[in-house]
Amino acid sequence: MIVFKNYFKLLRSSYIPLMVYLLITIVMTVITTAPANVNEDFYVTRPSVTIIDNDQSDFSKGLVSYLEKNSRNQKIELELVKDSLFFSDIDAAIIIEEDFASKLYDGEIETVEVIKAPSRAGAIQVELMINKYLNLAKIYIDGEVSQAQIVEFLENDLEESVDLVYNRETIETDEMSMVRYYFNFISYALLAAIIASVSVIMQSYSEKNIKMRSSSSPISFKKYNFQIILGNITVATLIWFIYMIFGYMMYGGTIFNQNSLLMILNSFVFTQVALAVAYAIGVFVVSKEVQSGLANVLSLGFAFLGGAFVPQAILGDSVLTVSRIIPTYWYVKSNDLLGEFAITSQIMNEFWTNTGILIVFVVIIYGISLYFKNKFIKYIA
Amino acid sequence: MKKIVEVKNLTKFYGDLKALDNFSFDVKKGEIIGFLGPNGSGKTTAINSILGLLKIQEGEIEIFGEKMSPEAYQIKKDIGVVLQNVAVFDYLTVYENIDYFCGLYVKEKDKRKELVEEAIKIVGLEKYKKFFPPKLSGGLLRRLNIACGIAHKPKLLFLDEPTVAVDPQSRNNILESIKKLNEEGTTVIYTTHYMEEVEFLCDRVIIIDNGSIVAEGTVDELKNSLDVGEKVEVEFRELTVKQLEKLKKLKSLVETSVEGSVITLYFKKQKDNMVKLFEFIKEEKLEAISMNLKTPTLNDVFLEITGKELRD
Amino acid sequence: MFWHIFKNRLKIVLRERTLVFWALIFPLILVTLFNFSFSNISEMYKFKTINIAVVEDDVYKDEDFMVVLGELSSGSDKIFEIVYVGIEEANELLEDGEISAYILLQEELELVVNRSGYSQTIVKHILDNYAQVGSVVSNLFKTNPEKAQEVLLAGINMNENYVDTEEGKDSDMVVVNYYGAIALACIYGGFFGLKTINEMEANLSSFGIKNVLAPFKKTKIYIPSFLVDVFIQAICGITLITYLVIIGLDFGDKLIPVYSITILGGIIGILIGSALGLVGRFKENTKMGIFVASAFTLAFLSGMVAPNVKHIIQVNAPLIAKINPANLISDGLYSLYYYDNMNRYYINVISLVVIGLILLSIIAFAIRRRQYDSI
Repeated sequence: MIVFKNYFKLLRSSYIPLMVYLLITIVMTVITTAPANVNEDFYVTRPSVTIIDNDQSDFSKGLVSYLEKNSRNQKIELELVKDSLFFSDIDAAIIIEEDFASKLYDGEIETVEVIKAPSRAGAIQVELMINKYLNLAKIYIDGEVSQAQIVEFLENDLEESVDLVYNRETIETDEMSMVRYYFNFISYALLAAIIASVSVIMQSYSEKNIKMRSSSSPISFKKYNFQIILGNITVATLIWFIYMIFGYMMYGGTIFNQNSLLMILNSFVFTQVALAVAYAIGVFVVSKEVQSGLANVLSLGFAFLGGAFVPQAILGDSVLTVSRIIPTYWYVKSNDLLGEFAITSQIMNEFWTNTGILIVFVVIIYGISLYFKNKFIKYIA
Repeated sequence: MKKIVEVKNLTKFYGDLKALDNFSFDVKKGEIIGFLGPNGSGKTTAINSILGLLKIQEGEIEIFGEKMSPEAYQIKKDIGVVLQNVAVFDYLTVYENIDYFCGLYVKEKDKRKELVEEAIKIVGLEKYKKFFPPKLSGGLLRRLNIACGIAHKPKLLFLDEPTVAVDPQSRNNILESIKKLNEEGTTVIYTTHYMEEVEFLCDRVIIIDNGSIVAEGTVDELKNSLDVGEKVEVEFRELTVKQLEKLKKLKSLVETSVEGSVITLYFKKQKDNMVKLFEFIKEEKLEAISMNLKTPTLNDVFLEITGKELRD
Repeated sequence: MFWHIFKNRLKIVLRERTLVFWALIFPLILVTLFNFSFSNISEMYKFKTINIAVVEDDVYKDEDFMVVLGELSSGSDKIFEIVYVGIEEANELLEDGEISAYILLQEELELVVNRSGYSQTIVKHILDNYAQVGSVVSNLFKTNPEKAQEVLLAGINMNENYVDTEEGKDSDMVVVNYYGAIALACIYGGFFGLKTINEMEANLSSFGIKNVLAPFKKTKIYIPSFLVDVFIQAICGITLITYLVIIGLDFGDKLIPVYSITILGGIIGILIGSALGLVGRFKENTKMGIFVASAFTLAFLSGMVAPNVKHIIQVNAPLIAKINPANLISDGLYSLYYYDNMNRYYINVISLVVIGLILLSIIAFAIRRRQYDSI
């Protein structure tokens, strides 16, 4: 097992960048997925606003009270509003002018000023709410109903809604959202860290002189390769395990519910994919700089296009067609399912399908690498 | 003759390790001085210290009669260095490399052009002017390294193991070039662990071991300092024990050793050693199958002084 | 001497393809990736027909509702594409993702979905509207029946816009990603800086030895080398910004400040690389690895990967926000985008300059050294 032992000696020599990578990806993960901070909800149901009512009529107060029910209203002074919007402390600032109500009653179309923060989703919610209220109110105004009455009526009218029924059981809690986001995010981290360590070591073995030396050594090619792959697997598993520990440290018991356990399994399978990719890079790419360039481009690219950073629902159709050839896409698909719904046989079917696709990726990538690796050796010989 | 380099009591520590111990020597103008010693003896440390690159704990260093220091630009502009590690830019051609380094010393473009062309000629790289270093073999790279160090025609040239891993042709070229430079007036300090080079090149040799100077002198002086003058390996067709004893008692024999059928005779330094030996052979009617005469080498000198070989 | 070193170094740097990759091409790849990934965000808020199904009930029929549905599903810019099916088929279609939701026509309308996405939200919103309008109308009839008739006949409009909002700020948090990428590109100037220092210190490379032995002050070598780095980094930065403008990132009429801060950021990046190069005796590769990781982290903290991170740091660790060069660059760009006046921009620029001067003094002090304990 001398090659195996040697493998870890090589690892020691490049352990500093690896440690740094691990540390950094963990820090990044913690920051983005720490409990207070998950904001992947692009459909904000309770936007943050500040409402300034310069009219102070019954009518405007009715509007304000409706808005307050469906948002978080913060008191902010006028001069500080722009700053708050800049930092997205609030999604929008709503300003109702003087004489708003009376102008409406005169039949004019008066508008409410909304200053949006660039966080689009929340601001749009605000727009929708205001328009809904005022469109409904207009019906009353046309029908010559008094201000006070309108406010009273609307309070009840706006309670009317259609029953929303999920035909799947959802388990989406804040906690599960975070867990899901964590697992999605570490697809980037796993890929980056594994490539950083494995490719570097593999590259040492690929170096021409070493290759020639070892092909004339008494260790058979099969054994040699086997020990290298074993070394790879050990390192990758170690890295994966470190991230799992971190997951536990951050989310505690939630990690052990059924859905999360499946996510853990999913991430383990993905680790093998990452390993296969790292292996391929180690085999085909000789130059150290190209390797690190490729490592960065691939891990970032996969993460973005696969939907690990930007939710799959947001990515465009044209993007998604490309995403299907990226393993991360399938990994994230499973996680998104597991993060939202309780387990049913149907969910499991989808999960196994996605997992199967990931395994196919592993097989194909290794297959291609080993095939060409053989060719290279033969070529040198 | 003027002393180009004067070093007194140079002592240098790396942490607790004493790398140079009271190292003193001087170099006269026009000399080629060789530092000879095994790996790790302190040759490179000595050179780097003299050049002002290393902090030293004790010692005085004077070059061209002036105190040497890192800011002594007047001194530095007449020094050339050829380092152990080839330091050339992979992304500049052979010509551009030499031009760059020469340009650190010579500002006038026309003059520089001449010097660069000359340096290329001296090291024999005319055919490779437009090549990039990654495409050159080890020997050619070292030649380039040398050209970079000599192009500005320094008065004092340091070469640190310039022929390691170099093909014989390049090696000859390098040694010839140094000799030629010296003939044109350059003083040379040359470190190596190859004694053949020292014997070929150097006026004086300084033998170094463990950071100290263990012997100093011309090649001949050093060889003469040995007790042993000549070494003869002889094999006889037949030799009786009695005859061997008689042989051992030959005058001027310092030592005898027998290995199998080969007898090694160590003679004192005398002119008539071989005469005596042939007389003995004639007297005893012996038949010599083979005879090997070896004159002492610097390795022998080193061996005698330190008990070690030069090449480990 | 100056031109001699400048010219040669320019050749060296330009010919070294890995440097060119990191400083120029990688950022271009990154922002192209962003462009591709985010291309749909504005699409998302644009209008798209939603597929739904309606499951009719034999017993309960609502004429009015059917009329409304009919209106909503006709015309060229119809909101819904509706299929009328039985309940089993509806469930199947939902599972297969063919429809976003289906409506169960019963005493109480029911909307059935299997996930809570954007389309589902819209459908619910529209149906809620319908229910609410119904409630309003019935209240109106109770209060003012004659007027109610008039209003109904005139037609009910639910699409009047009562919101006055700034048009034009059409991109959103996504710009923070781009600004972070620009910041990363600037910091990557450090590759050049690392290389420069490596060649200047005798304990870092053999080149360093040759340079230290040259008969003049080291600053005479450092300054032209530094300027080469600045020159090339500036070109990379300008190329990046120009590329971004071409692919559609809007900087308004503030291109000059944008270019300026990018160039300044590049200089800071170079200085960071040089400063890193002076620390410690690690191998060059190790330093490179540390540098890449650090640059990425700094850019990450400025919002390159997830825009809300910028906000998080601002709130929870404002000191980091203030001294992180990547954040200063990204914040500067963001304030150009968001504010009309240049105050905040200038604050960021000044902070960058201060950092630059500090780094420069550290470097100037450290490279004066010509003697080492060991090399």
